[in-house]
Amino acid sequence: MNKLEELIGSTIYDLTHLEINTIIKDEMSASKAPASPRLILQDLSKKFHLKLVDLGNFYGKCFNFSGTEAETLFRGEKKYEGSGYNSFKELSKKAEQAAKMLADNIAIVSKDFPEDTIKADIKMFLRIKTISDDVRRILKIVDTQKDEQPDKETTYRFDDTRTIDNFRALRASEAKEQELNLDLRQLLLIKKANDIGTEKVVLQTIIGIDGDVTTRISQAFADKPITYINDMHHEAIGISVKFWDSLVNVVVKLGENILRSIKS
Amino acid sequence: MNFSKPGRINIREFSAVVNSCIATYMEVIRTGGIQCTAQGDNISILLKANVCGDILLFFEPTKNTAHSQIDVNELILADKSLEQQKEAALISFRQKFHGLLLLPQLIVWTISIVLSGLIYFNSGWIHALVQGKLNPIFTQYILPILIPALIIYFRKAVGFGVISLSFRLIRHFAKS
Repeated sequence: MNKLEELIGSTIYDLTHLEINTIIKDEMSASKAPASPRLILQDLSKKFHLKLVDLGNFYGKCFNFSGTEAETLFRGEKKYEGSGYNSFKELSKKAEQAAKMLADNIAIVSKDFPEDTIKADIKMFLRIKTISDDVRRILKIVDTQKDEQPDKETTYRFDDTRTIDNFRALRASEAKEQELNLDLRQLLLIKKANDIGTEKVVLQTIIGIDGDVTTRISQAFADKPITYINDMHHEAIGISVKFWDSLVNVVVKLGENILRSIKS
Repeated sequence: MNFSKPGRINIREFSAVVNSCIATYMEVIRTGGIQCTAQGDNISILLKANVCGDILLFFEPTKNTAHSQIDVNELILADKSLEQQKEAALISFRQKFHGLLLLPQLIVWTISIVLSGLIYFNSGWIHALVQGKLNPIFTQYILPILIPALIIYFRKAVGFGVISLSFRLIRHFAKS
């Protein structure tokens, strides 16, 4: 009953809140996002892994690290490189430690980098942690490709990159058996997480059905706004709200029809 | 749906709209959402949306060069074809959103027809319920037990605020 209530509650939240995010990508993406949830999670895991490594290289010099030492500054020792439960658990833990490390050493790091950049990167680490935790919760429920042993940690087959490589080569009918069986809400969550990935969101608007509107602007964008991007964001809000408005009118019509039937 | 002449159905326009709706739903089934791209010379704008209406807007340089936010602005200003591509992408995006409404509308029409039929064939007791004219055994004994039981069972979902409303309902039925 609790799970059902949580599902209903979160679905109602999704339907009663609109979110519009505008992102400026650092570089063009070479490939299209995959359709398979397994491969989407593998993409996401890789993005998080690369971000931890990149930021390690970025801040490494502040701690007199370079090369491999800098790469492992935040990423640490890689035990899992796949996209199973334990892989995301490791990413979550490393991201949390990285955020703490950066926050504790802000005085050292701020000699080389502006505080805004450091705070933005701390938020990035926290984002990685939050999304990894969300993915783990989903995987714990839906992932059937696991080996549970008494008195031992459960092993998830997709923590091993070889499982993923084999999965890519399978026929659709064979892959279906190993595929994650997600409901719409879970699928939308992981797709959105993969789409945004580790990109920086410059503008975010959240509109609630109760009329609350929250807009977040990144510090860098607020300091140097780009009118064209602002206008596009505004345009996207208009489209989204109009769709919502139409959807609500469809439901209202249903109510009107019922009342008209009762009256007559 | 917009038609060229009000009151007249243009078969070609109608089939174009239906095809567009079907294509939109196929895209939703395949990818979980809808997307449109405006491909400029320097910048590419990707509009992505899910069925709940959430939108992701990506600005992506088409040339793989390292850049800062200032460069993005310069790339946009220098892009001659972006505006035209953007307008076309927005029109397509709006059409796809419009197409998404077809299924909810169909569901509402179906429910309306079914409910109208049910109400028509059960109008007697519905009117009695609305007017409070019900079997005394139901209002005096069953309802006072049923409503609190439902509240307690669904307390977490609906909250205890509904208790006052339900007691008002019980008093109304008990008085009548």
